[in-house]
Amino acid sequence: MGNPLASIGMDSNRSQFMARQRIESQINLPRLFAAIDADPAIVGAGVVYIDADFNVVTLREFQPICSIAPKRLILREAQKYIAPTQFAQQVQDNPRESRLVGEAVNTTLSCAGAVIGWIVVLSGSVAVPFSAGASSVVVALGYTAAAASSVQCFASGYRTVNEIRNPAKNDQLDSEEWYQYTMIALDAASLVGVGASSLTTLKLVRLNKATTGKSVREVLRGLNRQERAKLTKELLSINDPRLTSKMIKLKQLSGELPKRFTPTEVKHATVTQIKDALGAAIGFTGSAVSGNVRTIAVGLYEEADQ
Amino acid sequence: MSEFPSIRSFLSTYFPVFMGAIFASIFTLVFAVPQFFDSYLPSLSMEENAKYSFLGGIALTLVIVHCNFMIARGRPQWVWPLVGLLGLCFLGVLPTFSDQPHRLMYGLGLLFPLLGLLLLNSQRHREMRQKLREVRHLREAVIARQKSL
Repeated sequence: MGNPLASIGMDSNRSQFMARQRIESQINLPRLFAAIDADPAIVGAGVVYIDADFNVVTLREFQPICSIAPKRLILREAQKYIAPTQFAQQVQDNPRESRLVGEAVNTTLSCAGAVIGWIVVLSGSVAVPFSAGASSVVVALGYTAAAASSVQCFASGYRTVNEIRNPAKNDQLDSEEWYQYTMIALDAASLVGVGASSLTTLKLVRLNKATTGKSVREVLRGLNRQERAKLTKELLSINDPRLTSKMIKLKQLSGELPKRFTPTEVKHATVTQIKDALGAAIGFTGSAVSGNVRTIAVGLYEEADQ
Repeated sequence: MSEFPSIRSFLSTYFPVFMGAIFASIFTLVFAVPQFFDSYLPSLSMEENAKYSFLGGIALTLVIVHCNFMIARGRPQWVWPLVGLLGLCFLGVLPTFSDQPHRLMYGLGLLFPLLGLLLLNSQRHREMRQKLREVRHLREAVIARQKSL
């Protein structure tokens, strides 16, 4: 017979109970949740805290607002005997396994997209003698689609191989601006190229990719100018609760405050918010290392559905 | 026209081998390009390595796409650049056995070019290239007739 308290979110185990008490007294939870919910990409994400003694405490359950697939922000405290550098390395290596699956799924989807482009090319070429010039246009469009989706097929396969051989290469590519624009251009070309009937299939493929894939590029592309402006406003008001929305507007007009953060700034701002919310007493590592008091790693985990 | 009953039956007969050859070529690049850069150009920094191998791979993918497009348009001689590329990838991966930490990747790097060459050499792919050439002659005849009218 299980503890009835567990079903309502209370912890059955004494050490877990103590851990929860400790965390709640140390961290400003409402502020942490506000910081998470300010980012549209992870709004409603679950928050799980794992302390140095491996007590897993769910601070908040996942709410399906940002996506259907559960996303969880995991805060992990380092064991006392591990050096911060070593801990950062350990945490960075760990979530790679789920990323490998993500890349492999992406490869399958982009290669399936390539099949459609090539069907258009081949059937268009065979059809030309009967319909004379009319299907030449179709073939030209098919060529664009086939080329773009074949390149995407290569690119995602290449990323999968990198994920096994040297994952740092993918991070390097993700951080390059030209890479992000190339991939967006390819997405556009592979969509523009095909006719109406194939378009729905490709859209479906893209949609699936959006729910399973989790590259920075896709998250960033999802944020348009208006959303970024709105987010900027929210971040500014979290930064300084005294500011009313009118004051923010006035300050933005006078140029004192930014009107809209760039995508990179948004990402950075979210991390900074989470970091601040964790409190001054606790050191923090994202990918960098800091803090001699206590080291905490922040990781975002998503479940990929297949 | 009885020789070409319908697009549907043409596709169901020849599309699998056509697509198979394309995928085999693309995956040859997927495995060969990073291997090539890691083994033969170790002096490149990680940043340059990632950049050049990605862009180089894309350029070669476009070569594959164009060759296959020309085959689909009825010019069978474009199969030779493909054969050359696959042969080069095979020969490039072959001597890297000693500095390859992943045996599976090495194996796949050799398997895909061979599979691609096998498919290009298959009876059905040859037949398809021949048929597509006939379609091109037909198409040219139709266009010439339209022009003379």
